[in-house]
Amino acid sequence: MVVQAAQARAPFPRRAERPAPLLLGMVLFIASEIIFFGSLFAAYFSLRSVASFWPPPGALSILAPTPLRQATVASFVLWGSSVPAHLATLCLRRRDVAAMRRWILLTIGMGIAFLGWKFSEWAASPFSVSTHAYGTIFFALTGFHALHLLVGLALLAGVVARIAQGAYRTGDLSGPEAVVYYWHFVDAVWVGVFATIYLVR
Amino acid sequence: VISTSRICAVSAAFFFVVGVVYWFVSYEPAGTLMLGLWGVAFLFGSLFLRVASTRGAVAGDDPRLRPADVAGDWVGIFPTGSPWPIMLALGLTCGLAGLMYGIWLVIPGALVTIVALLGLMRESAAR
Repeated sequence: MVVQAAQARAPFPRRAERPAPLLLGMVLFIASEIIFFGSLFAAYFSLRSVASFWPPPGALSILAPTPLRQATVASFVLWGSSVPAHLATLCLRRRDVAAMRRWILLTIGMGIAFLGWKFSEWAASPFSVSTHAYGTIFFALTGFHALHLLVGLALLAGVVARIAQGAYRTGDLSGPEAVVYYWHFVDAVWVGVFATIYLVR
Repeated sequence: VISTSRICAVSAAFFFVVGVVYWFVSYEPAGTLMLGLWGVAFLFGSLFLRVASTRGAVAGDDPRLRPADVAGDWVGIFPTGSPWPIMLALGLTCGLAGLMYGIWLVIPGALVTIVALLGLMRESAAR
């Protein structure tokens, strides 16, 4: 029996081979965030199904060809920022921290560019959060996405700060990987927000 | 890991099936979307665990082992008590309620949230 138990224990993985608790935690957090944004999307479609005019006539200017073109370009900048974010994790696995830092800074730059467009769109919008139901759900959806983007930028900035302190040259890599997972999620949610507000309407 | 992945996959299938049934019963988009996204959330967790299980495994994946065999296996370090989760809840509640009632609630809410997050981070970094 003792021998059998020893044999049974032999294939035990070392700790490094297990799914990192931080990554699993981030995945579960992202799953809960899918539900959170889902409730906002559900609210959008629920309001849309009972409205006589959707979007209301006063809100159509944000969907005119020029603003729509700007929204499309900004969206592709945001979706494109997932590429340097992914390249950063590849560099990280090679322990090329300097290259990783460059890719993360590029990701941050693209995220800031997107936020800049978002703020300009809000500033130019002819309606506010309290004008009508469309305004409320428009600002709720885009506002919560922008809030998530701000958190993502803060996390990426945190990774850059940790690099400056000499982190990640050895040891655990799950921290920056979890941050990149989060960034991909923020980009993916924008596919839904963009499709809902600008395409499906 | 594999068992957890299967539980998530079955939950995802459940929500997809219920979502389809709900649509044909009600033709109501909001609830259908929510049920579908519950399915997506569980599917996401299931797929991550499936990928994670190709890279490594935990003792529970080995059907030959009984719980007693893996007693004492390293899982992680968890604090026995922490004030930060309840501070985080307080800060988020204040901050989000402030979006409805006014900026005077948002600022203290945001400050408490940030302090609680930093507290949580310091706690996990100190292990």
